[in-house]
Amino acid sequence: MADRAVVVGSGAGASVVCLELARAGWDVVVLERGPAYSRHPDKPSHRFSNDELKANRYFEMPDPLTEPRTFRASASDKDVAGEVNQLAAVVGGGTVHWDAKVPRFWDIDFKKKSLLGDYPDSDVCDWPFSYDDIAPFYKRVEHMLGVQGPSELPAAPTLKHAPGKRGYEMPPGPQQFSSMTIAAGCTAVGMHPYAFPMAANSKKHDGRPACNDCGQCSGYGCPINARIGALAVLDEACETGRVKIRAQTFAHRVKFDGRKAKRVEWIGPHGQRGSDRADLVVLAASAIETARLAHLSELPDPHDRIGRDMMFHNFVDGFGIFMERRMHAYRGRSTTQCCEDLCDPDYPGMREAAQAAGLPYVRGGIMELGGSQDPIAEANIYRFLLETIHMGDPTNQATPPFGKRFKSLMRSSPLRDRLAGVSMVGEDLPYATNRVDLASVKDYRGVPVARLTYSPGQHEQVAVAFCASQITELMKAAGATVSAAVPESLGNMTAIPHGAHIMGGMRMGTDPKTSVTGKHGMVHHLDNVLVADGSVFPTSGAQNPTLTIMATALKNVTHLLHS
Amino acid sequence: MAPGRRSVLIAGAMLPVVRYVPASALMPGRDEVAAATPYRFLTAHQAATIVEATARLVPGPKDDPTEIGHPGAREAGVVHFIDRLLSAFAEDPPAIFAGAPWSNRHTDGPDHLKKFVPLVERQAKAWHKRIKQLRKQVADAVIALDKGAVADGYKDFVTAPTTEQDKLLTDLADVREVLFSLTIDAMYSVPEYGGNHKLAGWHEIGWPGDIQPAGYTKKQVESDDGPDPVSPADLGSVQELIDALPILTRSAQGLRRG
Repeated sequence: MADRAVVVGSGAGASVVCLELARAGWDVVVLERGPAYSRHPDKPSHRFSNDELKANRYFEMPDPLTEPRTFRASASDKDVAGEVNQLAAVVGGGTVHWDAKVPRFWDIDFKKKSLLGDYPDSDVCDWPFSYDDIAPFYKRVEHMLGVQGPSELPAAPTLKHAPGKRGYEMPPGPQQFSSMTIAAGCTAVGMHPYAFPMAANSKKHDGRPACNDCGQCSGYGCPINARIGALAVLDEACETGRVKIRAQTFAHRVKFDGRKAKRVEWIGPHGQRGSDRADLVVLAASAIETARLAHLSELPDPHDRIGRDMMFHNFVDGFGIFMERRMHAYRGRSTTQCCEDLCDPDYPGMREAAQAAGLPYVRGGIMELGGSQDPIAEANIYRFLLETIHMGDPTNQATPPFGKRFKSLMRSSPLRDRLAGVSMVGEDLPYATNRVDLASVKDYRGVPVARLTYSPGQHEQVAVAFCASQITELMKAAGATVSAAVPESLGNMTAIPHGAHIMGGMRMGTDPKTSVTGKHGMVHHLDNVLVADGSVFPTSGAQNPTLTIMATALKNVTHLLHS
Repeated sequence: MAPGRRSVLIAGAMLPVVRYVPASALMPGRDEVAAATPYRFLTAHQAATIVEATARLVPGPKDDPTEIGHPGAREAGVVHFIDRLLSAFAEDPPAIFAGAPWSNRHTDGPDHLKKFVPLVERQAKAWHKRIKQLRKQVADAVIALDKGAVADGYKDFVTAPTTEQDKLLTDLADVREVLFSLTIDAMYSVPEYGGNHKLAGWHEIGWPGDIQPAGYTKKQVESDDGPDPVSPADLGSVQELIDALPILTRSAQGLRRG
């Protein structure tokens, strides 16, 4: 009888593990708590459309009314239940509606402590491998996903810190006017923008059509399957005939005996309970859910590390508003250009900003250039701002915070059609106090939900303040009439993170006192539990994480199969 | 028995005629709304109140003479969107998630968005709960608006002058929040949900809406459409918004990202 793996989750990390295990002759059972919406892209089960309201109604997401999480800014606060940085929970995971941007992490991301030095009051450390170690796996995943990207990348800073040939299958597709406009601003201030590598077809590839630039990428499932993310890999795994996907099946406990995990217990689509025997258990439910499952399973944790060092990217939103023209960022794949200069702790002025705050260094992150939003999101921002303006101005009570004022904003569209934004994916340092454990609140199945305790540290505050000013400048240089950058973590330190980049909690390391998984992603105190999602990240990097999640999972499962 | 199923039955019992009329078949004027009851859930009085209240929030030509040529909530059929949502479980599949992959707006083929997606367990449980909450919020909003109008010496909200209606919608923040967010969803969503009648919401803001399977051409994606300055009439509102931008933190939605 073949060895049998039970994989919890069906997203980015799970997909590559399934493929490699199945190819090596394993039988694989995948437990996915959500439904299968686009398992077979050409069949009627395909459910995605250009529909902002459907996305807002949690179509592919866990609904906070049935599957909430709880949040508190610090351990001394009471936690509140609601929507806390959820990712899509369907077959394919977050990649069914991701923006599919796949930059690589840098050399310094894997060796932060060795290359950049100690960081007081944080858990900054090295990864158990280097950029050179993971580079071949990056290239393989780029091939697997089918990435469009430029034939030449900037020599600095990109190739200087992330060298080597890429596995891009396709040239970049059409470049958004809004993205190119902001990219020109980057160039004008001495930065180095380039066409954002993206796992979406720019020509027919893998039996799927070229993207037709409908503009609804991030947050939407692709209606034409030009961008299917992990499903490209999962489909290939299923073609081996060795992979069985149980959709709408929620894994709530890993049963183990001594150092061996034996079974995974689950609750099925109509509340029925069952379990699957496992020779290998793979936890790939995404970082918060994997930590939740580890806690629910009471996995051995003698040093109290499970769920600690949770990280989210430290976003800065830049608003470049063009009063003289419309930027039509709704046409084309969202943010077709990116820029990595602010990932560099040696970017001009960044060392000085850190020094002034008494910090060894700070970093921003990759910038997504020229983004905007769709009308329902836009309208809700106006609603919120008009209300806030109204409350803050007692002299203006005669004009209601709605009506013609609202319509005037929707028509002139400063925050949609005239907006070419910058979204910076800033590094978020690991702190042991930022953690996931279990809440007293339960989901609709009666299972305790994850409780997140999180607040940004001093690094994050100094980094975003510095980067916000750089972003304001580059948008001015791009010709924006109005340029304002809003660090998300400033002004509202207790805000709930929502950036959909979720890392840490089951961090890899060589010392069980400071990590949960070993240098190949196996849980320290068990022999047969592999963790294969963003939870294993020891540090957050300063780029979109999915490519690194997949490359790390591929590297670790490859090691497992050859050891 | 699931709570939503029960609510639907109760709602049915309250209505003399339970008849579903697709919102797209209707284009009610100011008086027609009160006269007919083409609603599955709302009473005629609730519907009339919602029509007038949402028309203050997003006024059209009948509500503000300076908005001639610019449809608002009344013209977009916002009340029908709300009624359909509040009775979403009267349909099977429930009218929560429009279908896929595209409408007939850019093809000659059928409108696939019309065929709603069946709910899975987690969605059904959440939406029964949410619609129950929304029904109460909407009913309470109507009661609060009437109560406010009566306290100020009027018969009810619908017949009160627009200055009074604006005052009440300004003072009653909870009422405004419920109705305004539903109005926004109704104005700018795909019309298969029952609002955005004749694409009034989209045309008004120059938004092409769902574009599949046509997509955009390379030229449309890449080109500068040329000068199109903010009109002088809108400058004041825009400037006030820009001044308030730093208020935007995580409490509002950020830019979309990957």
